[in-house]
Amino acid sequence: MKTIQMDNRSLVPPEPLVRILAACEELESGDRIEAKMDRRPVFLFPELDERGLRYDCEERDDGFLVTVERP
Amino acid sequence: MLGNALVASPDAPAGSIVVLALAVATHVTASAMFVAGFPQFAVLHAYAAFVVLAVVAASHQLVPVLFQVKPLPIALTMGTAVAFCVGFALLVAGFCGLSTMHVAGVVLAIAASVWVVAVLSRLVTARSDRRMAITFGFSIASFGVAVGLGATMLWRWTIGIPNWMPPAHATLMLIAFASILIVTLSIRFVPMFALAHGDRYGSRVGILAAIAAAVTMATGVSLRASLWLLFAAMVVLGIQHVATMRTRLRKKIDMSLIYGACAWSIGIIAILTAIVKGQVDVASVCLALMGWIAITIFGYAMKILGFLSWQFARERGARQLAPLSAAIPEPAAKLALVALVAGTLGTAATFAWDPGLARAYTTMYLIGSLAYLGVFVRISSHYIFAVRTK
Repeated sequence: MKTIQMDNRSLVPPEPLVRILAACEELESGDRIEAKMDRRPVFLFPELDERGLRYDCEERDDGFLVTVERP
Repeated sequence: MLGNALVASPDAPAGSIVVLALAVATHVTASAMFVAGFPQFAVLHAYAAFVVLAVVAASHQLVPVLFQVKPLPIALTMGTAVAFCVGFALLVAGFCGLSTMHVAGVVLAIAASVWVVAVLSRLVTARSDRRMAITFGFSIASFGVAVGLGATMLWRWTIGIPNWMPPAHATLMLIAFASILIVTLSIRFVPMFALAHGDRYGSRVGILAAIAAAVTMATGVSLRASLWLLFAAMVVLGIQHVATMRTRLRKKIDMSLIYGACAWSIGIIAILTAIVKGQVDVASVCLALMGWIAITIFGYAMKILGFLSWQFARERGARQLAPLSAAIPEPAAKLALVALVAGTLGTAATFAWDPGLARAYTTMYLIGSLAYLGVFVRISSHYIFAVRTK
């Protein structure tokens, strides 16, 4: 079970979305991605749904933490 | 365990969907007016209403997302959208012979002032992508100036209008507002819809050239130089878009990008037509407004509408939603596109050589507009009904 961590803050759209989706292609069952973002990645969620991934988005003091997991 | 929790959106997707629907309905109305032989200025400004409403709807969602600013209150967005509808309806009625020009000018000036000031007040607080915020703001400010000129012309309708005002108004609306806004957003939308890295637009040369062209055209310095600058901007950015598309993660080309590519090509044809003829006439305005601007808006709106409807359904608890990529009815979308493109090119050609043949092509364009309305309804209902069956 591996965790991919990435810091997508200060990247302009759609770079954060593309980086996360590219990383999703490497995920195996039980793996997860933890991505720091400085905006809520609203366009990412339908893409994650389409790929059958589970995800969460937590607002924090320094932005958002998006967690993606392959069931 | 992650439960696909969705941070609640403060961006009121339902409100934006309503304004976008108003925009599409306005386009159908304008196209029907064109077939029915309404006065050309009435038709032109009905299409302008479509563009303005679409931009109002899209901006409500895009400005907070792109620039990390507080969204406008949805009541303000919907209120200005209603005011624009009323103002443009009065304007169109005025061009059809009714005595509504003065009140149209007042309503449109107030609506535009409120909306432009509201959007610009958000853009100055942009926390990210400030260069794009400046370009976006330039477009919105240009719209404000264009409406100001338009309102002035309406108030002077019976006493005479200075010769420089109509072309300056048209240039600001078509180039500085609509075209530069499209070009600016395409730099984000093309990589976003293609799921590709958007790192090929560093120099922004194309946008700067387009802005320079708009300014020179609006001030009447040199029409020919302006047109060549615009042509260069479109070609340079078009090449960069193709390069971006080649690196896409999504192998199938999104329907919105197919619409965008067709529109971009028609935009280049519009500029070349004006260069060859040495003037911006009815043919090049048809190509620009019905083709370049309208088809681009339709393409991007499909994607935005799909996303808004999906978000609306998810926020109301629907869990099993069809993927966005399956929401667009492709046969209908392709039919709409073919009819819109053929109708645009045919209408422009007939105005250039034989206006008597225009009705066949404006009818074709109307069919495309109605087909697109069907696509619009299908995409939104795809998710709204999912809420009822959750």
